[in-house]
Amino acid sequence: MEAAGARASRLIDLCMKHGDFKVALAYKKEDRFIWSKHQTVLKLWESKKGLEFLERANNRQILPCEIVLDMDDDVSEKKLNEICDALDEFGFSYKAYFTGSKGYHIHVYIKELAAYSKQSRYKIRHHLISKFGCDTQKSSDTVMIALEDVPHWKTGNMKKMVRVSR
Amino acid sequence: MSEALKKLISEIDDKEVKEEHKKLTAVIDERFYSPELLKHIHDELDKKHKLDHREKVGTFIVAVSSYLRDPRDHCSCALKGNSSSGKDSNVDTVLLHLPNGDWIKVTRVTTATLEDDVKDKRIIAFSEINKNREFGANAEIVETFKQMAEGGTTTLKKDVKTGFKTAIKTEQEQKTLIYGTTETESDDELETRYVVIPIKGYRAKNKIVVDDVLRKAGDEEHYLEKNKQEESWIATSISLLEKDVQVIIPYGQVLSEKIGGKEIFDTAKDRVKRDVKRIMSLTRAIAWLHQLQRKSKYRDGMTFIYAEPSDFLNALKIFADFINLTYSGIDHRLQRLLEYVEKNVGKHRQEIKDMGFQERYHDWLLRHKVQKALKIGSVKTIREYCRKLVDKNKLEVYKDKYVNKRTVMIRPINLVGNNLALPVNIDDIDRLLQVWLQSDSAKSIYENHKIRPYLVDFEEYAYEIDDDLDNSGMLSDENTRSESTCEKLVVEEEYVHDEEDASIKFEQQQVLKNDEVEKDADR
Repeated sequence: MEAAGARASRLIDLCMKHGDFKVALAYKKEDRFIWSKHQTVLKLWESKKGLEFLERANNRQILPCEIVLDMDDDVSEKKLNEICDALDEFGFSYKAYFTGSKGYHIHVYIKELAAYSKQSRYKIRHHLISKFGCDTQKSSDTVMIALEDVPHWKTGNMKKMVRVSR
Repeated sequence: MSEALKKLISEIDDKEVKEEHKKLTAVIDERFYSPELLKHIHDELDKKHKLDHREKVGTFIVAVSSYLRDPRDHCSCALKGNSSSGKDSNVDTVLLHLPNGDWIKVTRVTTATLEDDVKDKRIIAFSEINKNREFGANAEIVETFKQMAEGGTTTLKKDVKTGFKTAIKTEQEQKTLIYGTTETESDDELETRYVVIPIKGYRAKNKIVVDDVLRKAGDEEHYLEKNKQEESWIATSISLLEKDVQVIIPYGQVLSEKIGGKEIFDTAKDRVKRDVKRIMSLTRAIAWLHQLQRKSKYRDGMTFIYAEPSDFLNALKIFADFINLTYSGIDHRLQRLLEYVEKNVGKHRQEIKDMGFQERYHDWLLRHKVQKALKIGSVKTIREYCRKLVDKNKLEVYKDKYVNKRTVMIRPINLVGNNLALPVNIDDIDRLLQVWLQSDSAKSIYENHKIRPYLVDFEEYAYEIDDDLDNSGMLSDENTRSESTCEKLVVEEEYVHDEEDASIKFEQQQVLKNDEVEKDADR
């Protein structure tokens, strides 16, 4: 087995903890945004080439145990804090990130969510996302999301954590 | 489960999510840790189906046997009784307390469907199967049905998907089948495969059911409760119990010993081979149900659960009577008539003597008096019962042609030998097993496990038998009148039939006279 880099190791750890998921690489080429094929971590882990790809991947699928609140319309810090306070009140554990582009991503982690069927997960996510007026497209766990602590594929700015649950 | 997720789901107005949440958060009810589990189950069953205590718990245990690991342990039962006696209600109540996806209840089914489409079901319940009656409900499936209850089915059919060019083999393991029937005829093959559970109809039961219906009609709480449609705690817990376990009955060999010179299982009878298997399977079912309280051991990839003596004793307490009844090969209604006749030999001696019969007839019983005492609705019915008992060599019927042409008398034929599958007293078996429990082998099996035995005890109910109804004075005038009216109607129906015409005319006249007397008294 080839030695994996820091980013690849982080993705492999996630895969071992929560099950397999897909990653992708998005980049800018001559004013055009190009997306690579979506590939599973387990598959990429098999080869040197795969590990190299993992090291460069900057997007990943939403995990089965995760709800991503993508603040698209109102991206103010005030709104972010309102949502985070409400999540704290609920008792959720989360990490809020500045995406490096326009808005914020709040990753809510609920271990038991993975036990539900895909349909039920969709409905639960949809409910929480709608409740805070975020992007409901992120209700499905087939959707790609920018990888944490990695430069954003559009702007090159780092996706950085700005707040964590109490 | 995180409290935050629970809170979030409680806000979601979606039935499927809530159902799934309920399943994922389900836990085994604490009553499954109680030695009195069977009592708790009985109490729960009793909420919907009144009386028939042993019968409903018996049906439940038979249904639970479908969860045993070895398909050969899956038992089946037939509920026999008259129309409206509560057969369907019994089955419905039991099924209500089993996980929803594990059973299917049908009123009609085809052989092909039974062979191909019920693979995922553990229990198949039929509302009605009447084999012997012409055009009887589901009569055509009886053969498939026997196979499913004993060994399962293996069929080879042309495959529709390939345009009938290839064959498809379908195998189905032995299943638990439950059916209701109004027939009194016995089918040997069916009855050795099924535990026959008699469901009796009687006045006290009718009264309780009527009162319950009337009470519920005006009870808001009842409808609120019904509207909740929550899965029963029994069903939820059963769905969470471990299925891949093998129940061991460590005291099995002890049961081959003799008690007071008698075998526990009478090996002189051929049927004992099946009965012993059945009792063992039902014991396993009871032990499986109590798996959280039984000693278990993991060995070479298998988990074993060790049954306790109380599991076997409870199986006997619940099922011995039913198995004995099957053994006699007589329907419970005929059995009741036979028992009455056997117990009351000589009861009508004086009347028979007064009629002028010779002494050798004095121990016989007058059929019309027996009919009245057992509250059998019509002469036709008791005549049919007597005919069947005569065919089985259990009863003799005498129709007098010389002294009093109106008289029909009956008496039992007493044959030597018992008709019991289990001729030994349960208390004696209990004592035998208690001695075994003190042995070193028992101690090595249960080790430090604490045995907390609980034996079920059901309230017995008796048929109403109104002896000497006409002399008792127990019935009110109103009742007497309705009895007479009933008899008059029956008599009129009978009139067209056979050589008993004369007696019928006599009875009819008697009834009319009685009515006149009553009217005079009223005036």
